[in-house]
Amino acid sequence: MMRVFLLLLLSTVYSGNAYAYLDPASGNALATFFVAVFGSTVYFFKTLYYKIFARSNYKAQSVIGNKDKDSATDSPFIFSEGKMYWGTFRPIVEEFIRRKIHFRYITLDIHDPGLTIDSQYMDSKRITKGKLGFAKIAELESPVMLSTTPNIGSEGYPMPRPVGVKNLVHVFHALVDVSCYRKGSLDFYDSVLLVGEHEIESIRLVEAARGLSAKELIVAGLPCMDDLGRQKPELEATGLSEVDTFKTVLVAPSWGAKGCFTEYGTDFVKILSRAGYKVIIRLHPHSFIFEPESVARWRLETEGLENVSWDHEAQGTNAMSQADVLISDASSIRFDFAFLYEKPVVSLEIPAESRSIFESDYMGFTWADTMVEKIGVRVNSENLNDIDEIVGNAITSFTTESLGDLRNRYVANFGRSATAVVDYLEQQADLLSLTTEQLISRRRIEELEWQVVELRNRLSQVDQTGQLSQLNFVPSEQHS
Amino acid sequence: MLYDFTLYPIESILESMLIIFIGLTGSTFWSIVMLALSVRLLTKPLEKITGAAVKSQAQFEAVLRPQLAAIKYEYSGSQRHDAITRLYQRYSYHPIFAVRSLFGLLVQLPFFIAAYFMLSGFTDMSGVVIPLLGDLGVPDTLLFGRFHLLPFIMMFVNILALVTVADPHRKGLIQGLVISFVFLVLLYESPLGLIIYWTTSNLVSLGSNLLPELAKKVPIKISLHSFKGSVIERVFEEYAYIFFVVNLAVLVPLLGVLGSQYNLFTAHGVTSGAIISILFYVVLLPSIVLSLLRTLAKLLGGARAFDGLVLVVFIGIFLTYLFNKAGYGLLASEYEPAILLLAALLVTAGAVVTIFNTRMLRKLSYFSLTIPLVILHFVFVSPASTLFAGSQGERAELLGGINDTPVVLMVFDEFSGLTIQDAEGGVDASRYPGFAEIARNANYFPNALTVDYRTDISVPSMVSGTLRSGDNRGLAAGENLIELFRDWGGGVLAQSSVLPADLMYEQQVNLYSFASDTLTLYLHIISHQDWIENKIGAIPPAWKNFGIFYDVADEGDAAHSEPLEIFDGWLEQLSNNTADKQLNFLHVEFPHAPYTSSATGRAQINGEAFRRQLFTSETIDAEQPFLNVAHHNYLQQSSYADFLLKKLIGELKEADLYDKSLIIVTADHGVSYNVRGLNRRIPLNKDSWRNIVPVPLIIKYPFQEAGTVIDSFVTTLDIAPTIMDVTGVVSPWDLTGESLKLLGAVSQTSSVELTPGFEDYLDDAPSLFEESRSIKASLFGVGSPVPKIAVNYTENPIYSTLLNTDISVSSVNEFSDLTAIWGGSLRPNELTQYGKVYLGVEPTDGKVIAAVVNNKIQAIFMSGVVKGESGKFAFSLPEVEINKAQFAASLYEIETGESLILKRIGIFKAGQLTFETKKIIEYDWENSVLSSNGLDNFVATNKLISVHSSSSDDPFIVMGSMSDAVISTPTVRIELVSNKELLLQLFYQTSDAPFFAGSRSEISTIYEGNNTVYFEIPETEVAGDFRIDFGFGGFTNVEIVDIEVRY
Repeated sequence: MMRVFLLLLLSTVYSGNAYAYLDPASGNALATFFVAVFGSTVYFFKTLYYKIFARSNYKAQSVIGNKDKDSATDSPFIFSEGKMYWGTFRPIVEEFIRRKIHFRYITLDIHDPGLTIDSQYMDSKRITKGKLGFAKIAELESPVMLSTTPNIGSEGYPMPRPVGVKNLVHVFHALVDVSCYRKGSLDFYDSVLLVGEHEIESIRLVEAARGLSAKELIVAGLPCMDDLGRQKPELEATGLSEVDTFKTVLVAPSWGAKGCFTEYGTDFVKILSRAGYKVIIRLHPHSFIFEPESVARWRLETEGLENVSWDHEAQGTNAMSQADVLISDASSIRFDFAFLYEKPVVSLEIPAESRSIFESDYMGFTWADTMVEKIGVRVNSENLNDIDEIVGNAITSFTTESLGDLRNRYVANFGRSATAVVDYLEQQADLLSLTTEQLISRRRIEELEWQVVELRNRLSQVDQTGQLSQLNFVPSEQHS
Repeated sequence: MLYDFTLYPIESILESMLIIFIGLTGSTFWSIVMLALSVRLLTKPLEKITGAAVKSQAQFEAVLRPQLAAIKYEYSGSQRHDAITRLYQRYSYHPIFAVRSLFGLLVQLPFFIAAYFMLSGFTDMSGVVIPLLGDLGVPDTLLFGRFHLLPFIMMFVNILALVTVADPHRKGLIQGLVISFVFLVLLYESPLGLIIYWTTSNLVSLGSNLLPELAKKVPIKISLHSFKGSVIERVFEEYAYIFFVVNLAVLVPLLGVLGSQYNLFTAHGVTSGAIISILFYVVLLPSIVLSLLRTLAKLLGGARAFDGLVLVVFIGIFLTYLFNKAGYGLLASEYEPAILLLAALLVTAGAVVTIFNTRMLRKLSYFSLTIPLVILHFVFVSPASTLFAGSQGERAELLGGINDTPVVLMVFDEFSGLTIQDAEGGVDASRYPGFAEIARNANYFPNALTVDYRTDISVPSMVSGTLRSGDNRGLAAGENLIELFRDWGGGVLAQSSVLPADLMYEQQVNLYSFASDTLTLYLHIISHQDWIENKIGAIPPAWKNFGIFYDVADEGDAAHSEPLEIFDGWLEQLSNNTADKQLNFLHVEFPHAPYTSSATGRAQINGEAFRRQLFTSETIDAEQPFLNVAHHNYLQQSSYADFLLKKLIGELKEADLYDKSLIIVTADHGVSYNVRGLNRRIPLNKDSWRNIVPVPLIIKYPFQEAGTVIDSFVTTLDIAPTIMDVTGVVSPWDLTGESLKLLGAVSQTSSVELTPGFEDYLDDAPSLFEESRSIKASLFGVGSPVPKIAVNYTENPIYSTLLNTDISVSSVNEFSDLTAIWGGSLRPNELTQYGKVYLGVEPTDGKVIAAVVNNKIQAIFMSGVVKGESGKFAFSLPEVEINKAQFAASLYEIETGESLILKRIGIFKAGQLTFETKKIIEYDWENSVLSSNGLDNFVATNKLISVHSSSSDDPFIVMGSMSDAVISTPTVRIELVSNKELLLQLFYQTSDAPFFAGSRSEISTIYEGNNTVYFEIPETEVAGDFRIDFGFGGFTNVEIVDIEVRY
């Protein structure tokens, strides 16, 4: 008995890394266990203490919400898969808070920076990625839900469309249109926030091809580009952006079969290096996960080349700000570069793969196809060997001004998209949270207001004629 | 309680693994190393689970820590607390979540503690000496011959593991060092084996620290990698499930039972090598055949259907087995077997559908890897492992001091110590002259007891001097006289059906019988116990020749004379045993039931139904008079056992061994025929205890002159110590019993306290024994040899006076109202006669009946209930009477009143009742006689067949077929006139037994004068000729006047 006791005592004393007797994991488990029990106890008593003596007025709110809590279920909610989409949501979140509008933010990622925001207007919640978490999300009620995740509700995708959501709104997280989505990706969405009017056509084509009911399409802009744009001056301000005499080429391939390295190899990098360009290679993060062998090969091939460096930073802003030209394939980074940094893009042609699984299957050509020559030059295997010349020409022939104009033409509300997004979400939340009776009376009020305006117009006409000038109607503020 | 469900199972598993490893490698040292490695390997997934939980927790902490710091900086008091609460809410976190990481630990810790306990308590470690290191069971003394070195090495490895860890923290390192030191202190005095275990385990940690790359790419992963996607994998996944489900259904239930009931092997004399070969075939053959069939089915496009069939059949069998075992007795309803079967079928259907729906079939294939574990467990861990263990021959030198006293140990089976006693408790010389002869110059122990009533525990205890029951029962490998003498090189002549066949001098395996028994056992195992026992009977305690697929009787009387053959064979070997020092040990299943020998040794056939009713059920289900009949059978056979003993004595004397030998005669346990005892073999109460626990024990020391009766209570456990004492051997193992050589005046030896019922009954033993002897006297008389005793089975002393009365002098020719059926049993080669008595057409109980042979009353008995059936009676006759060639017995009812009146009992004509209602078959009986045998004069005239025989033993006529077609349950009416009382026997042929030699018969008694006999033939397919036999010879004159057949 004494030995049992001793053993138990030992296992409790022991925390940290007495690896040999218990394996490291159990050792740490023990340590965290006691921390947890102690911490929880303290936490519990503190909660109790503040409840009783300090009369803490903080009430735990259910972000998930239920029918009894109108405030929770009436507010818009944003769903994010994780920190990689923070760029899309940050401007919107900030705009909500700035306007003091209550909203909800749900993420599947504990590293989502959205969770660090402690604001009374933002109810955020991390939900475990998995069946249980998706089930919780499916229970959510809201007039409007914003997400950039395609396929919500689609068959074979783990996350169902929450039935309690009246308007499911999609926002793009790159300058792309529906053509590069897999078929059916947006079928369960009610509305789509467009980057520009040029995206309308492709969506209507898809709807027509599959007989879907028409989505509400709102030209709002591209929040993630705004976010990148905001980082640009920040980066420049910190002086990280180096200015040197070399002309710098950023090579940013896509991953997988669509990548230009996969298609053309790394030889063109050698040509550039020999021609005296400084080359920065920046791979898509997925490359490191899904094709590590290829990455290793490419690294080996480019090793020792003069002026060739690899960029491993989380954000591409630094690399992009240094570059004078971008070489890529079909990647959407081309538009970030062209529109944000206003510099030319060399697109390496990737042989068209079967489009049957993509929405572009319904389209003769895509918007991105039409843009290649507008933002730079197209290169294929025939003229790849002249890449150094092509790059040189591109740098000189494309101007900041022309690319800026192009951007202004295709990206609506550049730098202000969040305002448009929040405008729409707020209006929808407002509208869709009303009951039918409220809606009718709202219509009635609007009608009356309209009549008042009409009346006022007529009166002003009358006023011009010198009659009834003292009449003064105050318009209702209700519809704001 | 908690221990039973938590640590105990893990300890058992670890212990099983260790035993298997020892069995496989033969080295305890390497087995401990392998155990440590296996535990680390098996708990690897658990480490992963724990690791994942800890990692997740660490992530939370990393994310939350800076935010908490910021909150603490920014806020204070309740605001701070609220901010923290909000933070936790945002992250769906609670500080208690950190406990999740403990789940993994909860699984880890038991392994840690269980291994400690198991190794501390693993006694087989002691005595195993490892070169350089020393005895595994004690701490090493490598440091200056006094201090222990290995614990320091363990600590050193541990510290190495600490400092080589990937990202060492100072705090953790210091803690680790402290722990290492504490462990050094704690385990310093531990046995070497334990230290080796921990050191190996630590070496694994060290190894995985030093070679993280290696840890990721252990060879097993590489081989798995090349296995993945290969042809082998596809074939394995496609076919191995067959191996799994077949063995799940066949091997698992079979070995589950045989693991503890390994008597099946010993009884059949199957050696360990043979068991392994048989297992090999049983495990592989069905799977291979099915795999071939599946390939065929696949070619024909029916692979899926085949899979379904295989799954339904074998999972069905397995689940039926599980349900029958788990659900037995739960419902206490006669429908229980059907309900359980239905439930099993439903679950089977569900399981098979689930397997198909979830595509689990391929995964099922991987379960086949568990089947070898079942076999390993059977061979190394289960009680049956005793069959495979042999001594290493290491103990031979310990026998250096042995003297050359020959040892003879004769162990009878199922022989009560009270049986050989007369009314006063001495050896009954008139009935047991053999025992009496040896007792004249030996020590006789009238109060000897068996230490266990189970043969498979009792017999091993005699040759080992230790008592092993439960999971460890059976002969302890290496710790028994047989191996001791054999290893030393002495002349060992051992034979027993409950000891490992490897140790016996001769194995005669009847493969057919063994296969039949095994199959039958399997049917028993998977079926509902009550149902199957009703169908094919229970498994007899002898564990032999009970199979329904092979009838031993087909090989003549092999089964019946088998114990006698074994005895004779042993005796012959014994007379040729010329070794200086010899151990002659025989345990023979005699006078054990079934009783197949008369007191004079004539082979007897016991009435099949009677035997089944009395001896094959665990509980007695008949009234006392029937048990008294069984008791008489037993006395006859035990009387013959005495004859065998006499033969042994004669042989020993002839070989000049008798005087100089140590001769011990005993039995493994007794037997009880007392309806209040509930069971004839298990001492459930004092009524059976007094006959089951006492055994005969006579010990004749070398050159002993005087006979002594020693009243002390002693046990069979004292036998081995006595043998060792007399032969001058110092036991290499601990003995529980004690030598009886110089017993002195003690009232009991210490092992008596281990005997069954010791606390409850031993104080009353003298009076209980006395009572038992007096019952025996009232039933079977005193002073005359068993072959001659006429028996009063009623236990009513009034009837004792009638025995041997000559009724020809009294005027009893009145017929009784009773009629009787004798069920065709009145044959002189049957030990027991049985039948049924009727009043009108109703069976009647409580009738006192006398069996009269040659005008003398030879047995008095009473009708009663057997297995719920009324009107039954049974009796057995004195050997001298039954042996007569001219045999005729009549039954008389004894009416008790003012005086006892005897009335003759007629034959109950059951067939008459149904005969009138059946359809007549046109049968030309006069012209149908085909042949005859033993007739002087045969006349078949119109309306008459005359049969005359003056001397033939077997007069009969053969008649042509009753009908052209096959007919069902016909009744044959024969009208005849006879010159005397005789047995008329009708042999008939059926579709499945178309010759008289193998055909069945009905029998009826006829009397002098006119008789009408009805034979009801119970078969559904009667076809072919029939034969009428007319008694057993003498002057016979029968005239058949009519034969009519109806169906």
